[in-house]
Amino acid sequence: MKKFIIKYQASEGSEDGDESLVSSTSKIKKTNMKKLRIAVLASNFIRIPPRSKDIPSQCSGAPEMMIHRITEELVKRGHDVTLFASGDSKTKGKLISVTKKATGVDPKIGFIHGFSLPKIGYIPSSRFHEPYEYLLISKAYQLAKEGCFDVVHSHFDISTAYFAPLVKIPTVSTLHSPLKGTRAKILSYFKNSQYYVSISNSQRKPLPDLNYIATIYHGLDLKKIPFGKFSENYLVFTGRIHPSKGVREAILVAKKLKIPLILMGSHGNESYWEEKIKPEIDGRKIIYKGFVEQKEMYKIIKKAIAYILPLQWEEPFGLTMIEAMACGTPVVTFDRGSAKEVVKDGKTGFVVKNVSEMVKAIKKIDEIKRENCRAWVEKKFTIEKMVDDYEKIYYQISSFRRKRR
Amino acid sequence: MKKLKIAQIAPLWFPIPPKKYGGTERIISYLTEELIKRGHEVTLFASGDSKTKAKLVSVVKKGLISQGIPWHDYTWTGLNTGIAFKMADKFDIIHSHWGFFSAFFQDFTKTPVLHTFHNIPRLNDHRWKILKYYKKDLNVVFISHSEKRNSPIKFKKSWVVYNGINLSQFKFNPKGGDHFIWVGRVDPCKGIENVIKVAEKTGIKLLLAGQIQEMRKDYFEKTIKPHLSKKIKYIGELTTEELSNFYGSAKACLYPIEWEEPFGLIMAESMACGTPVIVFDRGSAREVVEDGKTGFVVKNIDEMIEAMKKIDKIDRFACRQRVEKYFTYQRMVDDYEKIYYQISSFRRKRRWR
Repeated sequence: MKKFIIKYQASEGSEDGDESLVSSTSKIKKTNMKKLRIAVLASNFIRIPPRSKDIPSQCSGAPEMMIHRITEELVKRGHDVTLFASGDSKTKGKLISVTKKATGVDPKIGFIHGFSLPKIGYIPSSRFHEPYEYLLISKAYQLAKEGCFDVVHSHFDISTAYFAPLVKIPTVSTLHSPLKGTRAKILSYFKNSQYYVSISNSQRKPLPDLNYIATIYHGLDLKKIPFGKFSENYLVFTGRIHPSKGVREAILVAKKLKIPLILMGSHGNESYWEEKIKPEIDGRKIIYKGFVEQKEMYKIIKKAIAYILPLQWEEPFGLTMIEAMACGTPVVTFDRGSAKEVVKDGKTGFVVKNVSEMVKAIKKIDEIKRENCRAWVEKKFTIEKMVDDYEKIYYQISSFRRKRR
Repeated sequence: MKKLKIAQIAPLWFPIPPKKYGGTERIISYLTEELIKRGHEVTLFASGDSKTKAKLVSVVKKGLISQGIPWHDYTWTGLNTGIAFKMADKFDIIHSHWGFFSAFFQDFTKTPVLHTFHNIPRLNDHRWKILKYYKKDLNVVFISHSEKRNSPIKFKKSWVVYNGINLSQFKFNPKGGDHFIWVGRVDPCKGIENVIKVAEKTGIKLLLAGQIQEMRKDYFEKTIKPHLSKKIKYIGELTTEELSNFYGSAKACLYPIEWEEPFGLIMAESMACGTPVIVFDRGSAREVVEDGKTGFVVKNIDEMIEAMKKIDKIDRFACRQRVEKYFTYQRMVDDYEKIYYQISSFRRKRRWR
C-alpha cells in the first residue's frame, strides 16, 4: 500500500509586507501513511461538477465546484473516495446516487401541492427535493455504520448533524453558507455532533463555539486561469446579480469614476434586476453580458483595471474575488465578511468601507502590482493547498477516533 | 405487563392537541394522554405550544403553520426527528406520525420504530419513491383497510388501527330530527355539490356545516352559495360542543364523498350522536358505516335518495353502539399498545439470537 506523510505550511501568511509571494508547491511526501476511505456527501440538487445549465438561479454553484475539486484531487492522491451525489454527476471515484438526475433541474421531481389554511392563507406548492437529500444522507450513513469509510466529509451543514452522532465514524462538515437565521439556530443544537470547517475565519463570528477544526479556503485550478499582465480602462463585476453583492453600488462607483463597467452573471433576484440594475444598462458605460462561460469570463476579467465587489452582506468566502486576483486583476471590495482574509489590503487590492472610499481606491489602483495578485492566489488559494488541509483534518479526526476507542 | 418508554414524534405544523383544524394532531393527543393514564412513560416531540402530561421536547416554540413556515420546509421536521433519534436508546419504542421522515433514521437504532400513515399520499406522489427504499423494514399502521389496500407499496409488517373519538364529547340523541345534515371541509372531494343535488331533487331540508379554507372561498361563492335557500342552509364552522347537538338533532348525515376517504371521523362522530350515515362507497366508508345497520353505503345520488326513504329503519342506538365498540380512542390505544408490545418483543427475540 502506498502511504503518505504530510507536512504542512502555516495556513496564515506572515503579515510582513515584504514576504515573497512565491508560488507554494504541495509539500506532500509519499511515505507510510494509510490511504483513507472517504465518503464525500454532496447533494442531489446540483450535478457534480456543475455546468452553468445545472445551477438554479438562486445558487452560486461554488460549493459544488469545490466538492468536485476536492473529490478528484483526493482520488488523484490515491484515496478511496465515494461521492454521494445526483446520478448524472461525474467522478473518477465511486458514485452513489438516489436520483438519476440532479433534483434542482429535473422537471420530474414533482411538487408538493399547495395548501390553504384558515387565518394563515395559502401555502404554495414547492419542489419535493429535500426528502431525497435525507435519503442520500441516510444511505451514506448506513454504509458508514457498516464500516465502509474512515471519515465522512459532508457538504451539508445541518442535515448530516442529525446523523453524525448515530455512527462511530467522524464527520467533518464544510460550512458553505453564512451562519444566520434557521441555520445558526439548528447548528447550535448540534455544536459537537460533527467537526466543522469554516471557509473563512469571519464566517465563524455568529457561532464562535461550534466544534471547528479548521478554516479552509477555497482553491482554484490555476492552470485554467490565464494571467493578464496589462489592463484596459474598464472595471468588472462577476457574480449573481443580487443585492447582497452590491451591484447597484458598483454601478454608482463606475459612474462617479466615468470608467466603463462590465457586469457578468445570472439574475439572482428578478425585482432587483428589473428595478435597480436594468435601467442603468446602456451598453456603453454600463455593460451587461449575462451569464458568461468561464473561459470567456476570465478573458474579460484579466484585462480589467479592477474587479469591484461592494459587498452588502457577510460574504462567507467570495470565490469570484480569488478568480479575479488569479487573473492578475486587483480586487476592491467592501469590508464585509471574508473580504480582509481573501484580499490582502494594499497588496492585491483594497478593502474599503463605502462608495466614496472605493472611488478613491480605484484612482490609486496602479499601486497594486498585478503579479502580486496572481502570486497571492498561488500561495493561498489552490486546489493542492485546499486538499492538503482537508487531508490533514481527515487524518487528525480519524486518529481522534482511534484514541477514543 | 412491563410499562413502556415511548417516544411520540408528532408533526410540528400544529400544536398537540390542535386549537381547531388538525385531525392527526387530535389523534396523537388522545393517544399520548391515554398512554400516560395507563402508566407508560411518554415523551412527546412536538411544538412548544402543545399541551400534554407527557414529557414535551420542542424544537420550536409554536406550531410551524402559525409562524408562517411553509409546508415543504423540512428543516424543523428534520431537527425534531434528529433530536428524537439522538435519544433513541432511552425508549422502548418510537412511534412516528410523520409519513416517512423517521425512515431515514430508523436503521441507526435498535429501538423499534412504528410509523402511522395518517393519510397516504396520492399514487403519483414522490414520497412513495422514498418509501420504496425502506418497504421491507418499515412497521406501518394504516388508519383503515382501504388505505392499506390503496398503498402501492406492500410493507412487510403492517397493521390497521382505526382512529378513535372522545365519546364524552358526542352525546347520544335517541330522537334525531326531520332534517338532513352534511359536515366537512367545504371541498369538492367531500361531496358538497352532490349533497346539494340530492336536496334539490328531493326537496328535503339540508343543513351544511364546516370550514371554508382560504383557497376554497371562491369555490364556495361561485359553486355553493347560489344553491343556498330556505331549505338548504350553510351554518358555518362549529365547535365540538355545537357539533354534538348538530349531529344529534338530524335525521341522517349525508356524505356523498368524491375521494378515497382515509378514515372519516365525521361518520364516527355522527353515529356517536345516534345519527345514521348515508355514504358513497369510497375509501373507508364500508368499514366505518355498517351497511343497513348504522346507515347505508351507496354508489350514487339515486341510490342515496332511495336509501333516505328507508332511513327510519335504522336503529339510532345501534349507531351509538357501533362507535362505542369500534371507534373510541380508548380502543385505538388498546390496539396501539398491543402493537407496541408485539414489536418490542420482536426486538427482544432478535437480541437473544
